[in-house]
Amino acid sequence: MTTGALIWLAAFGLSAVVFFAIGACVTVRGARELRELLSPARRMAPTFASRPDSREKLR
Amino acid sequence: VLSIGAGLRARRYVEDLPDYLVAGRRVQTSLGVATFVASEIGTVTFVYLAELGYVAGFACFAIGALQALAYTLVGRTGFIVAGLRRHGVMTIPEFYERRYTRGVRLLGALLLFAAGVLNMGIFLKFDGILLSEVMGFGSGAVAWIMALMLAIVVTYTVLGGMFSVVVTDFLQFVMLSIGMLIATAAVFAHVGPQAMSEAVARHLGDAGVNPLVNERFGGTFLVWVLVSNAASAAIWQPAASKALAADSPDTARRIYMVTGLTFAGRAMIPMLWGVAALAAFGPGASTTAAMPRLLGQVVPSGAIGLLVAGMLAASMSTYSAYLLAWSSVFARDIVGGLSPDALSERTTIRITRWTTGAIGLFLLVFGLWYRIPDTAYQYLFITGAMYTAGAITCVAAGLYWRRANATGAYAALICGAAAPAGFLLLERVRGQLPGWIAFVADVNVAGLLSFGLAVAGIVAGSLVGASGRDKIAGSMSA
Repeated sequence: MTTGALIWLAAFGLSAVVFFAIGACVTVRGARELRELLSPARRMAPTFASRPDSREKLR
Repeated sequence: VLSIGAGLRARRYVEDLPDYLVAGRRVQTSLGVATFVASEIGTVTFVYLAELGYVAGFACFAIGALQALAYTLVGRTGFIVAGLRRHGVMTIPEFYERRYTRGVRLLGALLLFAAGVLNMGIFLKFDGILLSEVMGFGSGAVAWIMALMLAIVVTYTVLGGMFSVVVTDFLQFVMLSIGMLIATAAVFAHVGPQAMSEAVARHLGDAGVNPLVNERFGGTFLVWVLVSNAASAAIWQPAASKALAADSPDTARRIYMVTGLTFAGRAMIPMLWGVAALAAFGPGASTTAAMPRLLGQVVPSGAIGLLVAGMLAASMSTYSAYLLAWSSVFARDIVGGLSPDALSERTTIRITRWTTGAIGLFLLVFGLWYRIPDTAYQYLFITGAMYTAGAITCVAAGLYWRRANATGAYAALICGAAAPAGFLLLERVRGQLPGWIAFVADVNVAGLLSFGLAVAGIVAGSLVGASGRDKIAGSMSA
C-alpha cells in the first residue's frame, strides 16, 4: 500500500467514525426533540422570534 | 412508507406562515443536525461524489476535508447564519429588502430561484441511474422511478411545509445512515483497502493521491471549493433554512458546527465506494454507473431492500428541503416583491404550494434532456456559484460593513452571476472561442472569478453609489 493511500484511508476511517457516531447521538436525542417539537405544550411556548426585541434591530 | 405517513400527518401542525416555512422556529440542535445532514445527502450526492472517487481516486478526499472545514468554521464563528437568525427572516432575500431595497430583494430572489432550480435539475437523473442500477431495472424504468418519487415528495412537502421536511428528514436520516453503513461494510468485505490502493496507483499514479497534481483539481479548484463551500454553507437557502428554523442564534451555530463535523464523512464515504468501483471494474466503466453497479453486486440480497430504502430516504429528504426552499423564495420574495400590496399568509402558503408542484414538474422534464458539462460535481458548483457569489457578498457586507448600499448590492449580484452564467453558455462552444475569453470556459476559473467580481462589485458600487440610502444603517453591529 502506498503512503498516500494509507494517509487518505486513515482520514476516511476517522471521518466515517465521526459521521456514524454523530449519527447515533443525533438519532437518540433528535427523537426526543422531535416529540417536543410536536407536543402541544411546547408549541404554545413563546419563541425567540416572537419576542418583540428580535426584530427591533432592523428598525 | 413510515416517513411518507409522518410527512402527511405533519400538516396538522401548520397554523401560520412561520410554521409552514421555518417550523415555527422551534427546531433544537440534534433535530436540526439530522435534518441538515439528511437534506444535504441525496442519491445525487452519492453518485457525484462516488464518480469523483472513481475518476480521481483518493485525491478527491481533500474536497470532503475542505467542506468539513468550511461548514465547521461557519458554525464556530456564526458567520452570517447567526446574524440572519437574529433578524428573524424566513428567506435570504428578505434580508436584502430590510438592509437595501425591495429591488435588490427581487433581483436576489430571481437569481437564487434560477440558480437553485437549475442546480436541482440533475438530481432526478442521477437518482434514477443509481436506483435502476442497484435494483436491476433497465433504463426505461428510470423515468417512472423519478416521477413516482417526485410525486410522493411533492405531496407531503406541499401539505406540511417545513414541519413535513423536519419530520421526514429525521426519519430519512436514520434510514440513510443505516444504508450507508450497510453499503460501506459490503464494499470493504469485497474490495479491501489493499486492492483500492493498488488500483489507484496503477490507473492514476500520483494524481490519485495528490489533489495538487491531479489535472481535475489543482490549487485553484481547491481554493474555490473552500470559498464556495463557506459561502454556500452560510447563504444557500436549503442550508440556511435550518439556521432560520432554529430556536435561537446559538442553536443555529451549533447545528452548523456539528453538521460540519459530519461533512468529511458525508463526502469520503461515497468517494470510497467510487474508489472501490475503480478497483472492481477498472477505468473503462461508465463513471456515473460504476458505483451503483458495484453496490448492486456486493450488497447481500437480504440487505438490498434496506440499502434502497436508505437511498430513497436520502433523495426524498433532499428534494423536500430544496423544493420548499425554492418555492418559498418564489412566493415570498418574487411574487411578494412584485405585488404592490403585502400578500396574506394564506396566499403566500398557497403560492408556495403551487410553486412546489410546478418545480417538481419542471425537474422531471429538465432532468431528462439537459446534457451535464464536465463532471456533475462541477455542474452543481457552477450553478450554485451563480447565486452564492453575489449573495454571500451582499449579506456579509449588509451585516458587517456600514457603507454597503443598494448600488453595491446590485453590482455584486450581477457581477457574481456573470462568470458562472458565461461558463454555462460558453463551455458548449469552447473550441470556437477566441483566446482572450477562453478562460471563462474553465469551470474552476469561472467559479472563483464569480467571487472576485462580486466583491469588486459591492465595493465599487457602494463607494460610487449615493450614501445615506441604507435602510438600517444603525443596526449593522449584528
